[in-house]
Amino acid sequence: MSDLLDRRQFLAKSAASVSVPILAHPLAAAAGQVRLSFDIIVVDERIGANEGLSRVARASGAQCLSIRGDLPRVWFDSLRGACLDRSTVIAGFTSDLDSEVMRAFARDVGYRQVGRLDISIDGETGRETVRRSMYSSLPSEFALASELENLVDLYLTSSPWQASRVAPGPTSDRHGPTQLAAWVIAPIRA
Amino acid sequence: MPLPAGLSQQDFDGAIAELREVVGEDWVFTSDAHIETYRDPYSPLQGTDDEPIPSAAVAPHTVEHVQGVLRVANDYGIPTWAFSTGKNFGYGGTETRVAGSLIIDLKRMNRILELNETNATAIVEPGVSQYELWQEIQRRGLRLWVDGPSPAYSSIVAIGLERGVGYGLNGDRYRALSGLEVVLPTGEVIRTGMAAVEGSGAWAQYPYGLGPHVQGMFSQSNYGIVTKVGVRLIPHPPAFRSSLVIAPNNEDIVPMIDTLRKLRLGGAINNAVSLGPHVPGRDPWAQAPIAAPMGGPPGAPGGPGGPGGGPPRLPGWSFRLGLYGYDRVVEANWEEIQDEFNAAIPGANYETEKFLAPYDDQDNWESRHKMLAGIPSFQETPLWNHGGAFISMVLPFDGQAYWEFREVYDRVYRQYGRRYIGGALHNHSPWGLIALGAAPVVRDDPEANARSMEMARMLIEEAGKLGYGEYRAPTPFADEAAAAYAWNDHALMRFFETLKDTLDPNGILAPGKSGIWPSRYREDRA
Ligand SMILES: Cc1cc2nc3c(=O)[nH]c(=O)nc-3n(C[C@H](O)[C@H](O)[C@H](O)COP(=O)(O)OP(=O)(O)OC[C@H]3O[C@@H](n4cnc5c(N)ncnc54)[C@H](O)[C@@H]3O)c2cc1C
Repeated sequence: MSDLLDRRQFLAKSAASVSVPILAHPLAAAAGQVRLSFDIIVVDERIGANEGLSRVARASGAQCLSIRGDLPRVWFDSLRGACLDRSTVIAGFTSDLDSEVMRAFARDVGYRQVGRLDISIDGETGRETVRRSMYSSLPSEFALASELENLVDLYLTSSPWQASRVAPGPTSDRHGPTQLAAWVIAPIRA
Repeated sequence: MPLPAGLSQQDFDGAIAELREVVGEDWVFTSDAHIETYRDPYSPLQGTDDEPIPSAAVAPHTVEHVQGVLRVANDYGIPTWAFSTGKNFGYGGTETRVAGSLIIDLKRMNRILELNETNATAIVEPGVSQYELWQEIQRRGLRLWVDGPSPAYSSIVAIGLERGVGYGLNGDRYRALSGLEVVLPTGEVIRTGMAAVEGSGAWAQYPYGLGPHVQGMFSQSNYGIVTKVGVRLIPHPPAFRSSLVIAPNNEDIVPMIDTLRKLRLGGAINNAVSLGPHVPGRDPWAQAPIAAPMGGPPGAPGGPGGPGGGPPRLPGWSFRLGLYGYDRVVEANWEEIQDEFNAAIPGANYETEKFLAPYDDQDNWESRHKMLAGIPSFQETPLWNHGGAFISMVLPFDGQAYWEFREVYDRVYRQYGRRYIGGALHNHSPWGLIALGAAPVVRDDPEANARSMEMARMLIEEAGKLGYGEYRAPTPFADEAAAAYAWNDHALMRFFETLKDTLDPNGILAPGKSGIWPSRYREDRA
């Protein structure tokens, strides 16, 4: 099931439905008090690199990897190897297609996407729309998906365009929406 | 997950147990979590009752495993579908035609069996991606380029069999294949071309061998599972010039195509050129506004109108040109090429860069140069934020013909509230063009996707009226695409079906691939 919500509704709804708030407040992670369950966070910096996100990743022990638009290279050079131990959990902020490419790479090593949020940021108002999909009923996967929601919240609230109200992305696209997908892949335990 | 039609749960369990014996416990997948990963995110059928969800997947590691899997499928009458790397986005992904199919995922068959720098050839298994072959070439320090298509993850075997497009000297990916090893649906293994010679010493040198040239029968077909191919690579040329040729106005596409044809047929341009709408100030490869050719947002090129409701801004055109060879020859050709375009297109302009061997820095080149050289990358399609099914027609290499085709496509797009301002135009050979359009697919929106399917069907039908057909069909549109090839009351399809029924008497391999249905399904469908 997926639904279309604006961020405020989304947060209210997710706060009510998340039974275990893993990341009680993003700042807790920023201060290094919380360990994220993600070992690696992949970011396509052309869509919107985010200092806040990298800081949180570093503080919580996750490695932040920039793909610069070439996900296959990063996959074959490092991510695939990292998945071979079948315990590494990877989150990412990429284009829609890269999120699907990653989903297919994940399949190759016995992983799957356990959570995904589609984020759209209006070029003129900076207003975000978040749409979530693929929620698993397995507790471990559900927890990862919830943690991804918190990370997305952090991504949105600490992003530079919040101040300037200008969407990230190529300058000539400013009037169109910026879209990105946040996702998490984990080993299939079924 | 659905069972294969006509199979009881007990029989299915029996088949799964046998498959586990063939490939090992760990390589047969039946859980919902695993099967979910094989659903095509860009399928217009997603979330509808018509989406053909598979029943199971199996990942063989050897030719004997593939034979064993097909034996079980024959014994139980289970429909199967083989994928090499399973990332055929835009043309069907890992979608099949029949619900309850058994996916044969060849990802574990990923050995590079031979790599020969002197002859610029390799022999590979289906799970080898463009990037992995290139990685191995780098590891061994060989002076070779792969010249694959832009998705670095795609399979050398699958992209060749699907007759996909690359962008350099070997842009027609089918022609890069030479000599196949194939497991027929009955389990028998054959090799084609020179590979059929005992202890073949020239496997990848000559695809034809002796007698009928059957390699093509296994491309875009359901007549066998290819388990090895010979592949041609490109030796590093002494000089390489990578250029962008830009035409300022939308109508310039007509002289651009005609000039290009002259230069391609005349031999001055040898790479598989790909033309696309050009947005000034932006490299169409580095930051292609993919949404635009497919019908962009208001104000964007091809969008339904500017912010004030003005007419859409139609962009000019550009293409990437690669010149390879001796420096002086490259430079002389480059001069002639500019003269030709300057004469044909007022305001034509160029961006260009030259590289000289040895290409020690090639890994740091911009992606646009890499793709012309054949260094696998995926950077030129960075911000693809929507799904779609490509509806890609083969046209003559003729500017006016393309202009008329474009109007027909645009008329259909408009009926569905979009614009067609021209998608990518691939010039895989000096004699033809492949014009890409796409029917958009929206995640979890069956209504929008139903409209898209309607639009795709209309595009196929209208292009058919002009005498054009698709070069490659997205899986869900295979029947419509095949129907366009109707000369002499579908004689070609009857021939395909005769071959199918002979080679695959139980109709177990990829039923419906390219619109070719085995007899048992034809009877049901009649
Ligand atoms: C943004 C974008 C850019 C793209 N760019 C290009 C491009 O530049 N060039 C291009 O050609 N395509 C392109 N595509 C289309 C497509 O995504 C690629 O061609 C893709 O890499 C093919 O997937 P694959 O190699 O994993 O094939 P697979 O999914 O493994 O196979 C595709 C089909 O081939 C057949 N097949 C596969 N393996 C075998 C086998 N061993 N034996 C018999 N039959 C087999 C099956 O019918 C299967 O359905 C692009 C798509 C997108 C979305």
